[in-house]
Amino acid sequence: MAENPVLVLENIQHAYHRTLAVQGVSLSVRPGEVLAVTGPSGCGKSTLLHVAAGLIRPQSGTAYLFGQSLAATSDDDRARLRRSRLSLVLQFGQLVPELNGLDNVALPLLLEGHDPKEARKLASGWLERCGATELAEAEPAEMSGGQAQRVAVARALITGPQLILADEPTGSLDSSGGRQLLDLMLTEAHKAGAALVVVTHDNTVAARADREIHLLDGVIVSEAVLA
Amino acid sequence: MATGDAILALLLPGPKHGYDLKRAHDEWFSGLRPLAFGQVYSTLSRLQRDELIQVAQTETADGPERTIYELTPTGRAQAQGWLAEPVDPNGPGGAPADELIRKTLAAYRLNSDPSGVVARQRAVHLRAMRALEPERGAPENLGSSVTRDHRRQHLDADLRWLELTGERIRNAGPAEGAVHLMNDASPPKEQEHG
Repeated sequence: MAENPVLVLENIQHAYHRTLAVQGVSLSVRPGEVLAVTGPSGCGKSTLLHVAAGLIRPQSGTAYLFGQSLAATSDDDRARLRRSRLSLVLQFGQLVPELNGLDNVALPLLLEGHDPKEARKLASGWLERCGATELAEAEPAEMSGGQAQRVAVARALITGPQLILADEPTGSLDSSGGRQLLDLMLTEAHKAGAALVVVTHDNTVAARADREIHLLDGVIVSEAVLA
Repeated sequence: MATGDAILALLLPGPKHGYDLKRAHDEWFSGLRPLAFGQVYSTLSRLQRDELIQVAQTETADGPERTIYELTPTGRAQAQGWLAEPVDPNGPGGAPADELIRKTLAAYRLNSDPSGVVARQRAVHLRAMRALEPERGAPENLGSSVTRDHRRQHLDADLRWLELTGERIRNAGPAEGAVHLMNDASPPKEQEHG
């Protein structure tokens, strides 16, 4: 029997100031699957990702994370879900500027009440796996775009998420840096058995996915199975 | 066979003589090089020899005799297959630009699911790009990297063009005067998605 999807979006519709960003999009993501969501700027792909993460409540339609309807969960429960089973990687890393690299990675565990010493030890291990050991003491302002993204990926992986949602994760990097970061995300997501949904305008990123959906004007216009 | 396929597609709406075909070609594919008359007649002759087209009638009114051609059932099937089948991006030099452009514009003119043509082509290109990924841990050398980069960048350029074309087709709406002739031209669903 097929495993239950980790993410299901049903007929999602959302508008900003009467401009429809997403118009009736439905999709589902299997455990361990890598899905690329592509399309030109303004096609609604980031909105869709934010709906999936529970950061935007869609005007109609339902998002299910791990079988749970996001509309039926409280803000606290959604926040807890995001910290435990779901991770986000955004374009510029979005690290906490006041914390060094190590504490940024440890943060999700610290927020969950883990022992700080243990959390930092795990964070150190993840920084090493992500090739960012030297950034443990560095503050985000001292990091390059690629370095901040490596730390953000380590932070996304430390909780052992079942689903990683990434919005243009390589967008701030050059082609070689972007490839390295994507390799890292794909390798670690695969090892952890996590599904990865990556919003990207970069075809070389999309081509690495198992499946690609292409959006235009908030509508899925094509779907391609790549693996 | 690029010109031959385009001429077969031009005959899908109905029989035409050589001059009509040249005029329709240059109108449908107006950004491409116009078709030379000599090329039209040599292609028609080849298509007739291969039993893809046949003479529908000859006209003699108002001047010289004109031969009007129509598709044979085989020719119709070939034209529909050509529209449904994505261009192979893995040949020497990648996907031929004229072929990509003609196929997409022909699908648009014939109202034969042009967005589907773009979508299937996008899938084929993405799979070709994916196939370029080296095996994990495989040794890299300058030669293979440079070659792969060249292939990848060309596929990427095509993919960007396909994205833009998909947008243009969507914004343009149905082609003026297009008749939906191609109900049986769409490939099976799994081909579109996989």
